[in-house]
Amino acid sequence: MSNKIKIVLFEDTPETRSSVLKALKKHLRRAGSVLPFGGFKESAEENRMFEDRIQDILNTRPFLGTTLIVADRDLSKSVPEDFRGLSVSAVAAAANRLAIPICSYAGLTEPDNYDWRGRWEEGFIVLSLREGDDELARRAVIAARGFAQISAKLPQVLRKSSSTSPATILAALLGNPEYADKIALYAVGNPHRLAELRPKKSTPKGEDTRRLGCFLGYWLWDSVLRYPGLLVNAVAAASYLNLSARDFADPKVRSVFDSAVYDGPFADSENPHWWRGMLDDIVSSEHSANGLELVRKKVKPRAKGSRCYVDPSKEAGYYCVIERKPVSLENSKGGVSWLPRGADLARVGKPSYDEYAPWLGVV
Amino acid sequence: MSGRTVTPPHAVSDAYVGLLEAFRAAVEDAGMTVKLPSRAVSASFIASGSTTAVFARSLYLRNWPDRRMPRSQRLDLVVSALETFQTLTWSLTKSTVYLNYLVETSDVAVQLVQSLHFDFTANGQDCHPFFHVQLNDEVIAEQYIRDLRSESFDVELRPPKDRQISSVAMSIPTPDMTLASVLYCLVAHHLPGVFPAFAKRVHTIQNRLPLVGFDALRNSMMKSCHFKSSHWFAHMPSLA
Repeated sequence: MSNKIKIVLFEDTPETRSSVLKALKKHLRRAGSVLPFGGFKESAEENRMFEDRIQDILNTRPFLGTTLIVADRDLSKSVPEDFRGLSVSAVAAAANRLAIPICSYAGLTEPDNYDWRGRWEEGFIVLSLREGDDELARRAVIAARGFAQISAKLPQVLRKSSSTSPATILAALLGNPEYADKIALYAVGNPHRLAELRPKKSTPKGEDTRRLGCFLGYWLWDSVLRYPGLLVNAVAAASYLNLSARDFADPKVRSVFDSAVYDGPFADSENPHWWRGMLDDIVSSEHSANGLELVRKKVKPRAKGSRCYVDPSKEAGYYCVIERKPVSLENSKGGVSWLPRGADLARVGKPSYDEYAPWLGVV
Repeated sequence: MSGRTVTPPHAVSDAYVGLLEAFRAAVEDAGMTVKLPSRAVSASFIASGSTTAVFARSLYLRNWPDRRMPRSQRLDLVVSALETFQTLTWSLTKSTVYLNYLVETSDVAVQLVQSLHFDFTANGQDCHPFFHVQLNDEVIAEQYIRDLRSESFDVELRPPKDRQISSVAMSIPTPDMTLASVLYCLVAHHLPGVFPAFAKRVHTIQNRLPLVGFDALRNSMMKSCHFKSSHWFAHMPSLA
């Protein structure tokens, strides 16, 4: 596979296609190319199933070697006309056969406050147009770069690794083999994903590695990076360190924790993550009780602590995955069955819990 | 136990996470369940002095198998660990692990049938073997299971009806019975079917667990001495 990124866009509304295409090109710069799905001639019969036809098309130039597919959820107006009625599921089925990762996005009208749900089982990365074409494209390019990084590094990791455990392989890919046990706690028992891991006798050379790369990428994006535990987003990091969001956003304060910033696949400089264990070591090596004490000692004597969004009189420490806010242990619930076990900082705030408990699968 | 949490080095909290997860996996592999507090393990280190912190965590094991128990009777276990660290070096200076065996009396209450606590203090305690177990008839104090209580663990732990003869037993010398060893022995005794896999899994974790300071005992063992039990009191200089 070439090191250049190749993104294929499935979008059935011409105006949106044009604007998303432009935004994707802008964010991709010279790292690769973006192709809209279309402009091809099919040699085979066109009354076959969509996924069979898409699979064949993606397997030929100029689509061959696609890094990532970006697809609108609603493709019902698809052109050329004989693709009318196309759905993202058919695109995903073709992509899955070829081990090409897929990002699907929802239109402006679809509410996006369901982001806290486990998307893992849907079989693709879910983005939204809610924040505009540019943000969608920025995130899609981050996804494409991440999958490309994984593809480039995976063969070398597999050569060196004696283990076939996905957690061990992912930990090695992330350059932190010591976190393999922690990553294993993010394993989600999903039979659909299991199929991606099973070697197939008839697959062409390299496809199993591609398939594993696809699996690891989805796992990293949709579980390890999503739910705070091993890695923490800005809100969760501030909460864990006992720092107010405002203080944690202060560049002076952030610089204290610079060495813990995550820079692996899917790293996003606008929405960074930090290695939680490295945050611990930064705090502990300075003999401080927590991040607040360290920051007050080193850079900002008047820094404030993190407050629970349910009861601001309490220290937070955890992260509500529904409200995406700092929450205290007392005002939240853990043990939600769809949260990975490794995500020990991810909880559900009591108000949300009371509202959604019957659907949350609390164990 | 409540108070200000302290951030330990990642390696220390990580070793506990590994141990507790291996234990949970073993229990689940055996078809049983363990109730653990859902608070992060790293949040279980509580400041106990300017240079000390206590790792406080408890577990509830419901309906555990035991060779001596009739199947019709439910046996529950409650474990509570209090392990004290010197926070400059993060070495383990003290450990007390409480273990209660209880039998079901109703859906909401269990009665104590055996209570033990395993003790260790780096400098030793006068007239106590260095590592020892003490039998008594006391249920684990509520303050030590507060982390479980905050997670809707509402089973009432009742003392035995009659005072147990075991409560007058002497302190019995043991090997290192800090939390890791207690969990290890619990799996070995109650869940022998999954013990080999558990032992293999925790083997790599053992070296990451905090070092226990036992210089006096080690020095004593190095010397030749016919009365071997004296080793267990080597921390008392007057006996040296």
